[in-house]
Amino acid sequence: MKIKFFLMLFQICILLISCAPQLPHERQEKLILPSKFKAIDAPNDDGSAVMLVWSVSPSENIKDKVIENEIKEKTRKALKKETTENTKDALIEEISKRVRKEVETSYKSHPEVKYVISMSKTKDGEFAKTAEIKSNSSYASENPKYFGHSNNNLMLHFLEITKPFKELKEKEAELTKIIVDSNTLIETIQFAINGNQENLLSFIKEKEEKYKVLSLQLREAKGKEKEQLQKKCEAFRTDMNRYQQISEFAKRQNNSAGEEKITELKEKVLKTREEREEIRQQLNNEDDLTYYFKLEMTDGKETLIYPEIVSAYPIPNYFNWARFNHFVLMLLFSIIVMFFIGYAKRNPNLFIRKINGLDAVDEAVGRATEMGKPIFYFTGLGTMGELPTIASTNILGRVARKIAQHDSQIKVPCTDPIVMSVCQEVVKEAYTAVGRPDAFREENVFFVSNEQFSFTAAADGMMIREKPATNFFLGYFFAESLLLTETGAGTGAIQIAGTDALHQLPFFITTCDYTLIGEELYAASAYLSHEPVLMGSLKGQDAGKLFLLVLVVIGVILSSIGVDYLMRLLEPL
Amino acid sequence: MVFWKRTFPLAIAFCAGVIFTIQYYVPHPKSEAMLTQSNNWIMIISAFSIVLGLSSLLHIHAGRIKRSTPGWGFSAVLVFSLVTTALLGFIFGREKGSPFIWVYDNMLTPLSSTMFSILAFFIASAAYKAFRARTLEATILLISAVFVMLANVPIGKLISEYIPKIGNWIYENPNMAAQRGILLGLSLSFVATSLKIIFGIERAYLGGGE
Repeated sequence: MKIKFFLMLFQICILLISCAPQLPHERQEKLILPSKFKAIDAPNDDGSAVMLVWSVSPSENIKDKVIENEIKEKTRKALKKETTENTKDALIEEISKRVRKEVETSYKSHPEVKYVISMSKTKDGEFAKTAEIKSNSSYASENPKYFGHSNNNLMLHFLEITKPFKELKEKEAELTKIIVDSNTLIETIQFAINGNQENLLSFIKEKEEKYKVLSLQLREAKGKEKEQLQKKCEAFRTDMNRYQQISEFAKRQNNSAGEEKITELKEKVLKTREEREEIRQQLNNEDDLTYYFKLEMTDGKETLIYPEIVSAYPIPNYFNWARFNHFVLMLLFSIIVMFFIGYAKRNPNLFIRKINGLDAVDEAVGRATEMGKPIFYFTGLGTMGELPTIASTNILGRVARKIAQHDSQIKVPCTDPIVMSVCQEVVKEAYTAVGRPDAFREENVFFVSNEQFSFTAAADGMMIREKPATNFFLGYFFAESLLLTETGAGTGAIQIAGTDALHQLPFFITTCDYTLIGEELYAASAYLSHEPVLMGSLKGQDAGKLFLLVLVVIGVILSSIGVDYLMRLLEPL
Repeated sequence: MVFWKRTFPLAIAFCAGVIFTIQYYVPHPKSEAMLTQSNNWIMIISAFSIVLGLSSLLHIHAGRIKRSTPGWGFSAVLVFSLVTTALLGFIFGREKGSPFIWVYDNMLTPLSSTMFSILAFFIASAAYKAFRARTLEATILLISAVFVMLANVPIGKLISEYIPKIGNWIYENPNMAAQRGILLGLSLSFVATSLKIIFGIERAYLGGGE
């Protein structure tokens, strides 16, 4: 019975897949306008775009993907017919190329059909060309963010038009370039005036080398890329001439002439900035406008214009529906976690598996007390805004309490001043909580450097000189992790590490006695305190993990049989 | 006092947490502007926090110099470098070619590069300790490591064309699977930890925790 049910489900799935609308395979020779064309406000955005949607016309060029599939199929048949197991690679390649040429020629013998979009800010005003799109591109199915995953999207074209519009944006970019160029010139003249001829010459040499690289690229480039590179090269040549002139000018003239030139350039920069502000104001004033669009279809010989002019008014949205699946999952996990926190309050004896690294904290602190050596605690390179650092300071509070109880010494070198302030408070409170406020020393929690390797050098030096009994490395680490842990291992200290930086985990595992991997760092606070509320949140995490595991298994099975509905449902958009 | 030390910071954490969670789902320009403005404020406040760091640094090292504790020479060098570099920056500016940039380019950068280059030797030492065939798991690790390392150097392909393929397969399949498993657990931990901080359940970072 169960097998029959699954077989039936499987057959329904295959049927549904095969019912998807297909693009027209036989192209109509006569130009036929799309049946629908409309303009709408772009959904889920900040009100900066409108969208144009129009239906696929039977006169369109066949989609490149369809052509590729046909080439693959025909190549496979030709190779099956004309080759054997012993056929050489060169012949196989020749056959593939021949088939490709045949198929492409048959499709490209038709003239290319394009859509041209024009836009105006008034219905009766002048329409300016905004975009030109090939008919076998820009399908709504390529943008599930706006249109979802419906199969009907294969039969729709779409174009997003953002405001501010092209001319204003280009003008803004042009003015920005003038400002940047003028500032560069001011800098160049200042070099010359300050007598830094050497710097000026090396600056010019740098530019020359970049120009040589561009020229080489230009020789090898083709088509549009070549045009763009040509423009870049011309701009560079103009700049180079200017810098050479400035250099000559600086050599010949005295400082006052240079200063005059600088003043002139600074005024130019100010004026250009004002002009740019006006343009930006104009762009902002585009807020209250309705935009009108026309659609034309052309194959080079004939042009058809869609009879209706469509309009849209861009509105800022208050909710991004493309992230709705994300929002639901976030709420779901939050509810699960909160539920288990409530459950833990009623049933405080929750089981949590053994984490060796955290069980070793007592042993590590005890060892430091016996040896009379300090304990070093590193919170990593993160700032206080990052979760690993917050988790690390939470654990620091628990560890500092044990250290205060054992009357041992803790040192916390920090890379961030705010982290340092927080750690000072945490350690101070820990000492106060066990009744030893006098034992707390503020200079034991100190700032070293916020430069990565400066901090590492200082920390290594401290470890070699003071030979701590125990090192804790809990937080987010980068390349310095191995430098710190190898040095600590060399001094004979017990090392307990914990990070969620995946690339540093192997280094910690090889050099430290105990390593907390990934989420164990976040579980440490609950594990050390055994507070029911914190344990409940761990249970909530585990329940969430179970839910995800089940989803993954179901998703894998469904995707294997070609049903990707679940994958699309959970896709980030 | 408890209000300012405990309740007020928790209220700020709650409000900020809820507001910025909601902000992620609201594309309205005012929401984006609020985020940009907040980021700017955070950068400004972080910049001021360097004063805290400087005062801690100077306090500790000046104390060591004063008391002539062992190693006070290092502290003297640090204070001298700090003050000199700061003065160079203030007096001569930070343009290209200025003494401040010269110190950065010719002293700090080579020193950082030297520290970074020491990693090569430490990696060799860590690999020597780790890749030993003592147990079954360690043997599997050793064999996988050999394949992955050879896949990344030209000699691997010279020895056999299968070595790069096996090495890349190990890197892209079991390794990636393990990383994704850890990431899955991590992402849920982020959600849970963030909730605990927003709702004030986790308070240890405030100091004390009770």
